[in-house]
Amino acid sequence: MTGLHLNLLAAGDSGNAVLWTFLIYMVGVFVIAGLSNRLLKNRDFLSEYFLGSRGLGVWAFALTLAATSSSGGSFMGFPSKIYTHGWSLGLWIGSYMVVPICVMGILGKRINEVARTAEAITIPDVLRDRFRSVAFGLVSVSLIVFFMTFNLIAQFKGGSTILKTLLGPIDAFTSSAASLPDWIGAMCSQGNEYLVCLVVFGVAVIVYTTYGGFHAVVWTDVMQGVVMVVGVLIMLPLAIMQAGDVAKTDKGAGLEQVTRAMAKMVPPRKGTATITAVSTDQDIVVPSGSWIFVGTGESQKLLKIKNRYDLTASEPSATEAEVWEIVTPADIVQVRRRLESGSERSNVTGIVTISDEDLKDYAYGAKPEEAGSYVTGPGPEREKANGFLPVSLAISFFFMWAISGTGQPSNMVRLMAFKDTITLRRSIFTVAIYYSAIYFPLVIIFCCARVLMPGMESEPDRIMPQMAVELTQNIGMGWLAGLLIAAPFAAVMSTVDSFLLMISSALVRDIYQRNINPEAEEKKIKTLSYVITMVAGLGALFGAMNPPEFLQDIIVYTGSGLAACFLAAVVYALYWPRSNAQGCIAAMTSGFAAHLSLYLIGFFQGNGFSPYRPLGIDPILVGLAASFVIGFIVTLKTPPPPKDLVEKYFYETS
Amino acid sequence: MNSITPVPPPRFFATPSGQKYNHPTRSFPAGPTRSLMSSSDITPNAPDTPTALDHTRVFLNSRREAIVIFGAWFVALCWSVPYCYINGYGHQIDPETFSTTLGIPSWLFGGILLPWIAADLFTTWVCFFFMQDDELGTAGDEEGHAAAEMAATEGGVA
Repeated sequence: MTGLHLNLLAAGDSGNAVLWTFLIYMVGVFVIAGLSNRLLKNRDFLSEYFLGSRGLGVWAFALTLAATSSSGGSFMGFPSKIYTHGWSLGLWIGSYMVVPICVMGILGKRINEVARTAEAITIPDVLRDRFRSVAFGLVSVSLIVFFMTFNLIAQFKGGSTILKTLLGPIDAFTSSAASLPDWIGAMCSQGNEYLVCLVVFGVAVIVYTTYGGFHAVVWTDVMQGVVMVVGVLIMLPLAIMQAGDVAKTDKGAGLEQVTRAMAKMVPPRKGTATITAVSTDQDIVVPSGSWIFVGTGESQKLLKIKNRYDLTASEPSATEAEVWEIVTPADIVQVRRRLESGSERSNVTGIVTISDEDLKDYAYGAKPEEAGSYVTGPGPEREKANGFLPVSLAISFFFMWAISGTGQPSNMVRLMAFKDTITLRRSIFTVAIYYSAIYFPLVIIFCCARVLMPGMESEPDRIMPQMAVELTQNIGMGWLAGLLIAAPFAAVMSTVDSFLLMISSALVRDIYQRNINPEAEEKKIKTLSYVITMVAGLGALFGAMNPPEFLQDIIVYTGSGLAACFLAAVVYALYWPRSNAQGCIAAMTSGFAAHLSLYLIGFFQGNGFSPYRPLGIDPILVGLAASFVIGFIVTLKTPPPPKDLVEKYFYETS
Repeated sequence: MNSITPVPPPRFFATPSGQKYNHPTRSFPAGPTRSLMSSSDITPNAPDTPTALDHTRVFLNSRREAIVIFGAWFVALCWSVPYCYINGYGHQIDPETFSTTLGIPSWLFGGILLPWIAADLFTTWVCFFFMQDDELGTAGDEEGHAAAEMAATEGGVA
């Protein structure tokens, strides 16, 4: 009981730290937006609002690109995957070693030059002017709006989920969410707390993006990028030190002890059970994440109950409750230690009983011949017998991060905004160091988390904030958790604001100004830009109130789909003088169709949003191959481009 | 002193009559200098045809750099995945004798961390010794911006 009390107290302290960090952070964001809005005066509005007047310096350019690429997935999804599958995530993320130079170096200089020659502000602008094709501009705008809208809804949900995780321990937050009128709560399928967080997150992003435009997005990205790297660099030594102390194997020290402890780990068993109150005299609350020891002596088992259950005299049992059994002896010892110290939430041993257990081993990693699955490939996997990362998937991820990242329009538009080639060179170097300081250290930190906090498989998305609280409280600096927890929030915010601006630029510049009213006055364009940015944001906010299923899959689908559509078309446009509008439109649409068709096959096979993978190959590879090949063939089968157009973009004019 | 950098003529042009224009080709490497190429840089031995135009420096340098960078990605792929697969996949291990380097599984150290360091060194080389500085041009909106800033400055002074 004392332990539970201490834990709640600690949660309250960290909650206050998070709240203060969040408030300070939001003040910083709005100050930046205000300053950015001042830059809009005396400058070409569209160029400044959507492209920062092509004047980004090293830090702004490097960190906005790095922060935009690191969405909430980097700080929530990635840590949870490391925790769940172990060291094999090092290979999963391995291609990040060349991501900065690929994403910025392959297209950067050339797309910047072509954008200046065409006086283009958006990617559809570049393609339309490069080929003097209105149709190409409209096709690319349609694809951007299609993919970005889905992605934005998913990112909004991600942002509010993170905020809910951060603010969850704060009483004022939970009570104000609970006090919302029923009719407001009924608008959202995810509960009142989610709705409050969605509105807070959404309104904040929409307001600062709308008001400040590109420069606000860029400079908040810089701030967010700094928060991310500082958070990781603080966590790394703390994680190695504390997990090393816990591991205490016979051999080695620090991280080596952690790895050797992981080598002995066996994946937990997941299943269902019936929970019954021992006493029916009073109502019993079984908090989510409660631990229970079942049996005695050698046959004693340790189970974790995932969700909260309210057991009453009239309903003393809960059937089909999700439970996880911890089977690694060292993990059981660590859980016992944490329960005694009050670091774990609650122990319901003796308060409830467990019966009708139906538990299953992981499909890969639980058998004796698969021992050490957390430190070897392909890594433990609950559903698939060939493990988490079979070699075909490892190859796909090498394409996914480096090549797919190169094909993202949100990255391309940033490549149009740097000032000069000196800025580009220095920025590539800066981002390379930045990613090196973030991604592999994250693998180390959350491998350490396996040793420090066993049993988080039941709620892996909470591992990042939980780890931050754990590490800082263990050194008596709970307030520091606020800074560390701000990192994932910053990551998702920096992605959302960029995508929001891409949608509004596509509608204002590419649809309205270029096709409907080319003579529109700047005042009208300005008003329209503000309105469209706000409407797009509010639309995504309302969409996220009742988000569709498979959100993480939607994010993967949109990211890889954009690359399948845009990479080949842009590469041909920039580097192949013979390329023409027909060939590039064919490249774009065939990439879209090939990629989409694999998702549709997967859907009709009953796999939901999980795509069909021929020979284990990811749809991104198939989409890219189709796009490059068909684009090449169609180009050669159609007339060459006009001479003056080739001269304009490929030859010196005197 | 600027180096002399021959550039290739256009290979596929639609001529006014719609026919494809093929110019005799030769090897035209991009120059290693960071300077801009002027008309006086064209080699006297360049093909003397009315249609022989110079590719932009940015195009030539970017294409060369993109090929090298793509090659680096391919090398990383060819090293990392096979190395990790051969040394780290499907092995039965003994936790006590399992091979680690600096606490990291050795297969991951050799397959990812070492090449990651090599990739950072390669990136450093590309950024500071290989990639050329080129003039990217000036967009109309930038000229407007410069003029507006100048006007604002003058207004402030006045």
